[in-house]
Amino acid sequence: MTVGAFCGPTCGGQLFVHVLGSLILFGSVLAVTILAYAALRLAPEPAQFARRVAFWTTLVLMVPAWIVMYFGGYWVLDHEGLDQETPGWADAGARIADVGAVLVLLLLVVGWFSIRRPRLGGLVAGLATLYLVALAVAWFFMSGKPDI
Amino acid sequence: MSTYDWLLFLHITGAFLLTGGVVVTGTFSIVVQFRERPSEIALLLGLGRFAVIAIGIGAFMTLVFGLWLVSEAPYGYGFGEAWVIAAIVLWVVGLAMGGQGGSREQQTQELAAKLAAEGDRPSAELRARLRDPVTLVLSYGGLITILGVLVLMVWKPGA
Repeated sequence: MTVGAFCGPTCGGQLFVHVLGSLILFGSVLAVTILAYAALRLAPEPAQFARRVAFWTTLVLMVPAWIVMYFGGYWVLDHEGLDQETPGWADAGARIADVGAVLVLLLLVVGWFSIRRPRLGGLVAGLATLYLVALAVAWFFMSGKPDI
Repeated sequence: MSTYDWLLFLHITGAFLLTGGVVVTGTFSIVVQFRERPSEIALLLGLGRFAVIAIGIGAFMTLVFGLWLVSEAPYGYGFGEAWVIAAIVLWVVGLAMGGQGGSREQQTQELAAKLAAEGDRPSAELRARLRDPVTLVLSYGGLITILGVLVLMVWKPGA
């Protein structure tokens, strides 16, 4: 990876934490997306089960993964001395991570209420899809490092 | 952006799809361990097929764009590097293990769907299938092996 080559062998630990958090975060959002869309098509009882699993996936997997991704990212920047003059690509990734915090919180709150209020299921699916797209934009900036 | 940057973006997109799919199937596999009703187990294992599509596309992209990246890399490493060879070997082993574990889980899903249609009562046979040690070793072994590829990609030992 360019980031690895960019950091050099000294920042492997920091980078690994950030990348691992990012990958698990994406997987957890993908799981919630699949469950949320499935719930829209299922009968009431299995749909409620799917929404409950989606909520617990958000709480147990997505929230910790976001924390690991976020602080891992700042750990890399700090280690490389880029926390004062942050490059545009890293700044874009950080801003998307900030927006992601709001989306995770919304998924948590709406996901909880959607367990007993099925009409909120569509909102959970929409928020999860939005976050999937945001994460794809983030990894475009973090991997391609376009000049912005 | 240079050719290398685009290849890296596509390689990492593949890595996200591959590991994202693995996280989804792993999550569903863990959740079903705590469920008794066959219909719930059949639902979650059945939804795993969407993650398998992501794993397939991601596996293809990581290999193709990863090999292309090595040939384009301006950092002085090539196909003869130990970490590149080890990553390819682990990629093959991880996907083979995950594939075998996945096909065994598909059989479990079919059993769960059959039991769900026959009254949806908890079944000792289904419970035994879910806790089958061979399936668990294959599935979680595949996950750990893919994690090993990630370690090699980040640290590039010897590069």
